[in-house]
Amino acid sequence: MTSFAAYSIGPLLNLSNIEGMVSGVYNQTLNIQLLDRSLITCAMSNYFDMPRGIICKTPDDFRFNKKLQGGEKVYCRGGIVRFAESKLKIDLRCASVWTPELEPNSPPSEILLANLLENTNSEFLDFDPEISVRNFIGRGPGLTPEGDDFLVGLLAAPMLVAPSHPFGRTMAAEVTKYVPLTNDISRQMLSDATLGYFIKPIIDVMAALYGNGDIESAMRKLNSVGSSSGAAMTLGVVMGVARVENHSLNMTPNQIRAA
Amino acid sequence: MKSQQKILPNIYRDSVALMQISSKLCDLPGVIQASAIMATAANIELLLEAGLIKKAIEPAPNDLLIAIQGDDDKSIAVAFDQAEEKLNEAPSTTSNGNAAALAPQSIEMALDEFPEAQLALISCPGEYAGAEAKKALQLGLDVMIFSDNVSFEDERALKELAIDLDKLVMGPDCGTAILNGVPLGFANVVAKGDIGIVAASGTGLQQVSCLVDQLGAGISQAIGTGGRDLNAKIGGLSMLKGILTLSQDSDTKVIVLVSKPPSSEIAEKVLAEASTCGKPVVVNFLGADLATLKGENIYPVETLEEAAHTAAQLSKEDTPSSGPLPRHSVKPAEIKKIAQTLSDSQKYVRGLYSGGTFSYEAMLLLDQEIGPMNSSSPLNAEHKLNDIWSSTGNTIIDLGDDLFTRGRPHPMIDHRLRNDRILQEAEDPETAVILLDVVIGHGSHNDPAGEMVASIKTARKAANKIGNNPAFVTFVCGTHGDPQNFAAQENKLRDAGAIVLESNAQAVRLTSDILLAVGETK
Amino acid sequence: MSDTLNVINVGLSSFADAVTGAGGQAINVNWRPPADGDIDVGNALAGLVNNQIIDAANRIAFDKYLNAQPVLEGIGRAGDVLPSMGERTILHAGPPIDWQEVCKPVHGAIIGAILYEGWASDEKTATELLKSGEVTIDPCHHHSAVGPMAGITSPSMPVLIVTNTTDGNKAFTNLNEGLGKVLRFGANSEDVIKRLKWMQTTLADVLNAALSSAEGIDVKTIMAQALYMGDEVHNRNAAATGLLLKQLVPHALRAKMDADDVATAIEFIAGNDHFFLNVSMAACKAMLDAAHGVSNSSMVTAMARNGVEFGIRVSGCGDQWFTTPAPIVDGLYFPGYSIEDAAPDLGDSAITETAGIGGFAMAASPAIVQFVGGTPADAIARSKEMLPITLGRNNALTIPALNFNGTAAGIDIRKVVDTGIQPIINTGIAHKDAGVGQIGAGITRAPMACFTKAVLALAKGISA
Repeated sequence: MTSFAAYSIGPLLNLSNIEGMVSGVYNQTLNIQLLDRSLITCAMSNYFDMPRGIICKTPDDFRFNKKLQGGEKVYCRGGIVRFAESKLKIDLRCASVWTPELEPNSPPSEILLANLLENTNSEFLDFDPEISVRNFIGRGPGLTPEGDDFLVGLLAAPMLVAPSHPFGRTMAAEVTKYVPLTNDISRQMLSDATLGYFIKPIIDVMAALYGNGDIESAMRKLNSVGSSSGAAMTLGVVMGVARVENHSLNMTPNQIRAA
Repeated sequence: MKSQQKILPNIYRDSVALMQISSKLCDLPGVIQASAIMATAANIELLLEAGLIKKAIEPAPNDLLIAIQGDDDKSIAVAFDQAEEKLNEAPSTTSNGNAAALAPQSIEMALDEFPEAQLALISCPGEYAGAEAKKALQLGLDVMIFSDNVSFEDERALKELAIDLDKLVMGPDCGTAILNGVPLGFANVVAKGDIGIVAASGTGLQQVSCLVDQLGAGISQAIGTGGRDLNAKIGGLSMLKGILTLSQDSDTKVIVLVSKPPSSEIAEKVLAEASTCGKPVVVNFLGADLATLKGENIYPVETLEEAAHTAAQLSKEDTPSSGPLPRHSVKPAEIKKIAQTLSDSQKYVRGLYSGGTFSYEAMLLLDQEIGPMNSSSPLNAEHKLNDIWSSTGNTIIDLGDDLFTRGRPHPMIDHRLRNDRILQEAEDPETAVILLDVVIGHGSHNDPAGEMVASIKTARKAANKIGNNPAFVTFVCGTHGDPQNFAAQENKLRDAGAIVLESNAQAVRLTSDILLAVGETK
Repeated sequence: MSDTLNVINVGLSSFADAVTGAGGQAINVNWRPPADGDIDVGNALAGLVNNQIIDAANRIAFDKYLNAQPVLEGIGRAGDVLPSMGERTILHAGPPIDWQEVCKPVHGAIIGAILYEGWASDEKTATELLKSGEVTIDPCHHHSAVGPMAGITSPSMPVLIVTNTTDGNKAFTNLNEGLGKVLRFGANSEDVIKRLKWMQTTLADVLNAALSSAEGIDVKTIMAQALYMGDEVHNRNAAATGLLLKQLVPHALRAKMDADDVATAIEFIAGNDHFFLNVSMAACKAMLDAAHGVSNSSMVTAMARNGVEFGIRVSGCGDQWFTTPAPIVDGLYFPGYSIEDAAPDLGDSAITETAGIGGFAMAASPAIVQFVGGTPADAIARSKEMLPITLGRNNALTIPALNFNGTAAGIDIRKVVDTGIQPIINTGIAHKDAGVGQIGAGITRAPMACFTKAVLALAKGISA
């Protein structure tokens, strides 16, 4: 039996409810579909925290896809998650719950946002939640389609710092409506986003943009998530901030300076 | 004694293989000593010391030397042949490197093999059952403990641990449960439905679940708490947990509680939990004063039969009828006839039960209608039988009680004790009615009625010889889904001349009516 | 409602049949009372199973064990390099024992060591030294050392130095004398003393030069390779000895010592297929010592016998030994010998099984299992049988026959007592008289009583 200990688990995990089937196995992570059809993710050491993540302390050379296969049944008893075929155990009992907290200091300046958005495709700049959500859902390449990643990013600012802004309310409503159109991994991410839950790299970018932390390094980290997901999320986050801060999106940095 | 040696050139075997061959040669008849070794200097030295060779030979490390000391030439020759055969043996064809998986030797090992397990069912000797149950709870399993002889302290500690871990302990001394439609221990095959049961009595659980099934309703979960759960020392912890579990179970609409009456303190706790659980609760505390069982959504009933009927009505969202259930379906004229066929001396009931709760219910009902019953475990100590192996007057006994079963299987499986007693009662001129329960379902004998019928026939013959004809009053506790074929069981009994009722309460009330009729005609 | 029920059945197997017959699933536990029926131990054990504190402690201990890197770095004089080694102390294998209680082979070896040291010139005087307390005995384990069979180590003896480079702790062992009439079986004749002196001087000098030049020989790597070559590195060390020699020879030759001395030293090692055993033992001790001392851990860090008692040590139980009479090993005997001649189980070499090799790696050495008339499939089965009583598998020490998986490692006292599966040990069998030597070999099991005592102690420690 190989046995790991989880050291950090996400706030949306219900420990009495972990039972289901392995739905996807990758190098650094493993997805499990629970009986209620929600998706949780096990990840190896030093992976970023997620709302439904179980981050485990693993040996350096451990890779999930060398040990497990899709379709395996998963059960949790007495705080220990067992995989029926692979004889792998994950001990949840010593894990602390990751509780993301965002304490916005000061919003980012117009110039900063304009710099970040320079050369952005107009398709994104012209995004209108009442029209565009439907088009972006499930669109593009990637395990999580890029369109979905962009939408997740867009939801960050409204959900985390401006819950009463109309942009956010429309976004949440439209996303909830069209979310069945995409795959289950994205669906989980988008639903959790509409509830205000995001992966840690997104929280960190938001924190940095609002005055806590180095923006460049936070954005680099978010960019490197997945293969193309990160970049789409980053763009979405920045645009979401611009929207809720009511910044103009069509002016270049120079134009702003001139104004 | 003779000694011989042979050199097999250029054959290599490792020392262990050679020791194994040597060992086998030594076991052959007529062989005193034998050794197969590679002819190194050191090994030759060993053989010299052991006396297997008389003088040193030139070492030849790549040659194999076999030296044998035996009774005669023939034994030695046979031994050499055996040795060469073994050396030429091909590797065993059964050694495929895939050894069979080791059967689990502990609950933890079993859970690693079978991670979907939800429940540990424990029936090991009582002195170890507590420890096994504790391990199971800590491993995240619910527990059913069939074993008895667990101390009060251990039971209490176990149930308190279960509360901390949000798990259920059924038992100790729990022989019956139905979870997720699967019968555990002595339990019947009943339809699935929305009635949940929490019972401190196994046969009580069986009777209620069977009657519910016959009334066209079904069981969601039937939880056993063990016989001592409602004792003050245990505090009803499993019953409370059972009520909570059923209140949260979306499949359960009606809850039934079955037990002997707990102390007032425990009754209070249980009724409080029941009346706030949000679902109607039928309470059958056998022998309790119904007036004391009050509460919001509480439906107190007197008999197991009533519990089932009330629950079924609540399940269909009918208002439970307030009137009593029919006593039974036997007409007064028939009863009179039965009374008249009895001889003058026949005036008593002999209740020979295999289920403890049935005998208890019988004593309660008959006490009200006829008078106190003698018993091995009577309602009142003053009616204890002087000799439990011999009935006097009206007698109700539970043959499943420890007093009778010491050193033998339970009467639901082994009928010999009851068969003997049936005969004994039939030969007693004072026996008017022999009252019997027939329990089928998982865990019971595969043809209880068949066994009983043979016994009834023998008994009746013996009774007839002394001019008596006792009435045999019975009921079958079971369902049409049970492996023993419920209808056939009832028919066998009827064909043998026994009267078959639908429940224990009905059988007891018929018995009462017969005795009263006897009283009138004599 | 789920429409099935999954049951673990403990006790009457008919209950399991009833469950499966009714559409559920059931697995039967092959149950017998744990702890040989001792109810107090069983109850103490119940509180330790799936215990969060113990499991977390075990992860720490096992990780330390897996990350240890034993490196053979040098050789030194026992009296100089062994921690707390007095100049009149003689070390022995196994748990502590009074010198008057020792078995004959150990007694003979102690006398031999006193003669070798020159503290006395005959047995009578030697015995007086022991009686007066001027010479004392102590377990090798108490001085970071291990020794096979009698394991006798005295101040003037050369000891190999193995360092766990990950944590810095060291372990030591004497040099293996070879087979036949040797000190570790209780022989103490002039020839034995002469050989020991030669080892102290010539052999030790050559090894010193070679090891200094080599700048550290990775022992785990040799063990890992040897496991692929038919060794289990306890009773079968021929391949490992060869691999070690391969590394030593060039350094020995370059050392520019007397060619004859170098040649005799190399011949000595080459002629002793068990030379590597001591190195293997010291490496295992270094790895396990790294795991020792983790509060609340139930991992076994030593198994050792002194010919009278079998003892174990547990990571979370400090320096305490848990002992019971050592069993007589039933195995196969050399011609002329039988079980009547056998000494009880003797030696620190069970440290190899404690580290998941030796008997635990039987699948690497199917020849071994023929000791009890088994088949290669049995060897694999025995290796697999150890999985349920261990915390995990070795990472670096793998076996082809186990699909290249690591051997079971990290014995957990809770699981031994709960399952009744006792750790399996491959061992040589010594003659019960001093100075006769090895008379056979076999498979034995670590006695349950050691583990039940340890469980009680651990349970007490946790509740305190």
